[in-house]
Amino acid sequence: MTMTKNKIELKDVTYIYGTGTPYQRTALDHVSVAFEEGVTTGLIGHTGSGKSTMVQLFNGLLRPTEGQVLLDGADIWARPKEIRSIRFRVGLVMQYPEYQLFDETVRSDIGFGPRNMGLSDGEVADRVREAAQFVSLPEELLDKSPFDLSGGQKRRAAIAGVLAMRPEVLVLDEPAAGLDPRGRREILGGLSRYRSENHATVILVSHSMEDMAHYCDRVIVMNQARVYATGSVAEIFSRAQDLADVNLDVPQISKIALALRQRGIMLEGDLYTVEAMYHAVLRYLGREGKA
Amino acid sequence: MISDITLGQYFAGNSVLHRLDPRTKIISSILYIVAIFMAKNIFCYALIFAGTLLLVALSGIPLRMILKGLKPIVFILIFTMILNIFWTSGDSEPLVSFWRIKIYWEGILRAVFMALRVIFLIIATSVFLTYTTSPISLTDAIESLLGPLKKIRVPVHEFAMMMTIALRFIPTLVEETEKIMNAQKARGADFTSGSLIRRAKALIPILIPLFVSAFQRAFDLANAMECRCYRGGKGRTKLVKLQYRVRDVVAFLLVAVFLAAIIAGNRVLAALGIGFTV
Repeated sequence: MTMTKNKIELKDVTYIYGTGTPYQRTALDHVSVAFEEGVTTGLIGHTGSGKSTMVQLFNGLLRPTEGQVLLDGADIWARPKEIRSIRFRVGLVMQYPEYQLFDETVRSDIGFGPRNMGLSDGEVADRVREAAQFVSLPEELLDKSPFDLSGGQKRRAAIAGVLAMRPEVLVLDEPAAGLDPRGRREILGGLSRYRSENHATVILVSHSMEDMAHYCDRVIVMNQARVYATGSVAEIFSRAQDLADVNLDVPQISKIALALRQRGIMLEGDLYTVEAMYHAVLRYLGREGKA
Repeated sequence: MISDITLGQYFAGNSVLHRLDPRTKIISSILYIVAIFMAKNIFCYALIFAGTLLLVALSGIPLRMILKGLKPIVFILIFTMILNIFWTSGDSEPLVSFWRIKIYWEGILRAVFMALRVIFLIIATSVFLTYTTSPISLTDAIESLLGPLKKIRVPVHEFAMMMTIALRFIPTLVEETEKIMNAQKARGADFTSGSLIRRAKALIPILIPLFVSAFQRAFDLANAMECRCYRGGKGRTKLVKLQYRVRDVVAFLLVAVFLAAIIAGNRVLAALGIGFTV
């Protein structure tokens, strides 16, 4: 990474729900964060920490009570009537997106976004095919009704519906929640491929620290409507105690590494993925000889 | 936002009105409605005004909330007032006479009292019922009050259960609608521009997922109920049995006295020629 620039940025953003009612609640309190172009950032935080609100600010589903949302340095609310064009550039996959499927065939459902963009039929068809490949949805399923698919296939179709708009920024709220490990890997792997092929900026909300460790470059920790910590994956996961203070966990591998170190087995390096652990253990055993 | 409507919403609390038996509240509100419609004399209106204020005070619900609840009916109120002002003719000289439009003193009076009547009606029923009675106990009360109809094989319990379920799922469906709308907006759906037909078509991506999930929920709920051996009202006992208490008797007496006072007041005041009648 030589020259990096901020792709999308929240600048001193406050968001308040139900202003002036007894139910008034500040979901984000003067939050400033920036997301570099082409980088995958994980967003973690306890329930009610402001993650979901933040996610809806990126593509203008919510308008900040105060502050600005900048995309390529320009305020997305500069012309409120054209907010739709922002939504094509910042793709948002909501939680449990399979509930948004509605069309007669999977093909035309995935094509809903591109059609709203006003693309030609040929272009729409190309994008549908491409998007289906990213989420490994087989060609023969495209002409079925979305309601005949299995749960996992529905999820893929719904994610493809957002990828088909070829967004520059991709925001995903728990895209793999409730899927089996293989489905998780396939979907998150497909999203990684989308990122590298389109040089997209990805923001991934997840409760799975393992997914964070595996797919993200940077992590932002939210707590009580504020940014609690930001840093590289290694930096964040080395602060296990700070994470525990805000009711968050570190990956299981990090916990094992910590427990081993407490027992005097000094493994080297930042350990939060299985591969890194594997190599660290081998290195350790190699040096110490066979016990 | 859909969730901003306060009319018809329940406010949890522990006031005297909250603690009354829901059946008492249903019957009392019916009697109260009768009283409102019986009131003819201006002094009777004053009594109703005082009674309604007392109800609001007893409910412990902030007056501001109650007035906010009246917002949705402002249009209907103004409309009926205008009709009454222009279409009522009186015996005295018209106050305004312009072309074919004549406005009489009686018309204005009638419009004002009509409006007051509707306002009292809405405040009293919402304070008695929706604001202070949870939907569940309301349906319980309806089931109990309609109980005698079971003898002629009206499935009262089933109706009450359906009502309970329907009420229970309103907030869920509202939330679901908002989620689906956001998801489709994120894919560039546009609900606010274009011709009427275009806008109606734009609703399809919302309505279809909403129906699908509503049916799914219904099947899930039915399965869950069967798993717990639900088989209708027959032989079913209740966790909280409705029971009339001393305060319910007092409430009945007060409302009955109130109604009697209004009826008597109408007659006596009319005979004495005090106050004017509307």
